[in-house]
Amino acid sequence: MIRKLKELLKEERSCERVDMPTDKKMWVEDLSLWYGKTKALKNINIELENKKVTAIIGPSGCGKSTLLRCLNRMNDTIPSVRVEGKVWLDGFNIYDDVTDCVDIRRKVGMVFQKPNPFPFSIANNIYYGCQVNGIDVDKDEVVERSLRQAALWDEVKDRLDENALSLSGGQQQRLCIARALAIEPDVILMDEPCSALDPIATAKIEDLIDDLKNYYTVIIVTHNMQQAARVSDHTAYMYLGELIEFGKTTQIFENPQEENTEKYITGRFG
Amino acid sequence: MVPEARRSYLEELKELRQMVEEMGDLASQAIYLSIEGLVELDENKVNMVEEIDSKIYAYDRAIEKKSLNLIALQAPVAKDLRFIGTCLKIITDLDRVGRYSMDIGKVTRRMLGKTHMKKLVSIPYMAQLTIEMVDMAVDAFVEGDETKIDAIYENEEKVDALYDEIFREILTYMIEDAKSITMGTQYVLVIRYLERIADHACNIVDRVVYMETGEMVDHEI
Repeated sequence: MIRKLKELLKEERSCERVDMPTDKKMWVEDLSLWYGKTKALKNINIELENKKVTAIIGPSGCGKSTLLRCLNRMNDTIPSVRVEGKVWLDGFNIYDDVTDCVDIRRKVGMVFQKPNPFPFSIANNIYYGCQVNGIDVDKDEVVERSLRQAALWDEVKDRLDENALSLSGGQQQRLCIARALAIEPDVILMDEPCSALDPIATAKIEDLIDDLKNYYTVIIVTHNMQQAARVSDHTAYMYLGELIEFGKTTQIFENPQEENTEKYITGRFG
Repeated sequence: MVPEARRSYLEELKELRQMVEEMGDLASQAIYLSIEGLVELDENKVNMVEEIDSKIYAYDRAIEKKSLNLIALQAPVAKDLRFIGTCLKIITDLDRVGRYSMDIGKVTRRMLGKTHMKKLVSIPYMAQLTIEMVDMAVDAFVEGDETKIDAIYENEEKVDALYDEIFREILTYMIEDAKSITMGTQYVLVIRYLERIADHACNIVDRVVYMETGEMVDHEI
């Protein structure tokens, strides 16, 4: 009921819209971000394709995680942050005054560097998002669907009531992905999802990303260049808050057009 | 300015480049000696070509091993990957140059104890052009200078024209005098080998273009 009211109220207020090509899911337009007086993102322009994986790479401090967090307004929670520019999601500007941040985060889910399951049962971890968002679904159904999509079902189906913290690191991370999938987002943001995992768990997440792109738009920040090359369709290279190069992953890793990109991906610096 | 990282990796790439350069020098030497051996009908030079060919083969194996190690251990990308891919491709061309030189040596062995039908002029000139082509192609690789492609293809046209010219001349000799057929067919083999060497030089420079620009040279057949 409250959700419906919110939607009605929102419709009455004017909301800026643009027509976006069907193959584009998000469009970052002239986006800048300041932490206090420090400009961390400098006029970023990038178009993110629907149901594709986009990797954001660059040396530490280049702004890749900051950019990722801008895509579902996670930076709003930091008091000193100021954002200029627009981020369009399906033609709506998520930085519009009338936009509901909770709604945005439901549409744009996020998986963090370290697995952060809630200290609940495995099943309740999945169902929690639906509960707080007021999504009326069958619990068993959503738990199974999400865990299957996250390639975790076979490993945990017999212990859904066990505490999620009893899972291994790789399983916990897949549980977090399943939790993000439970509320059926359009976009999944992943901030170095494998940095705390061993190679086997990493391979499972990478396979999962490959499966997920059939249904979702995935944007992943990674320090692992080979991972970016393996999992992504497009790659964005950032340096000192600027988007230096963006293109198909095969082009970026085989024939980058910018010298700076070449130097970074070949390990000359960074 | 950002300090350069991965020093030992860069050093290994440099060593790889140097190995290919040395292999290229040996390939040129092999052609040169094989033609000298043919002109002078000198068995010692044929033996030297065989020794050089063994060295070329050893370089081929060593460069392949080093390249694969670099791919496995250093995960090269972008220009580094194109460079290593180019090394792997052009060592096959250089190896073939060595084999053709040895084939010319085999022709010489078959001619030992005989005399040439006439003083050889066009064949050494054709050989000189092919050596120039191989040298230019290897230089293009070492210097990363894809612009040498035009000069190499200019030579290629000359080599092709010479092949036709010499072939006709040999044919004339063979038609006029059946006794010249034995020697004549051997000369035809030599010019065929030289023409193939020229093609390999073209392959090398095509690869250099890819290495430098990322664009594949696509010759219409």
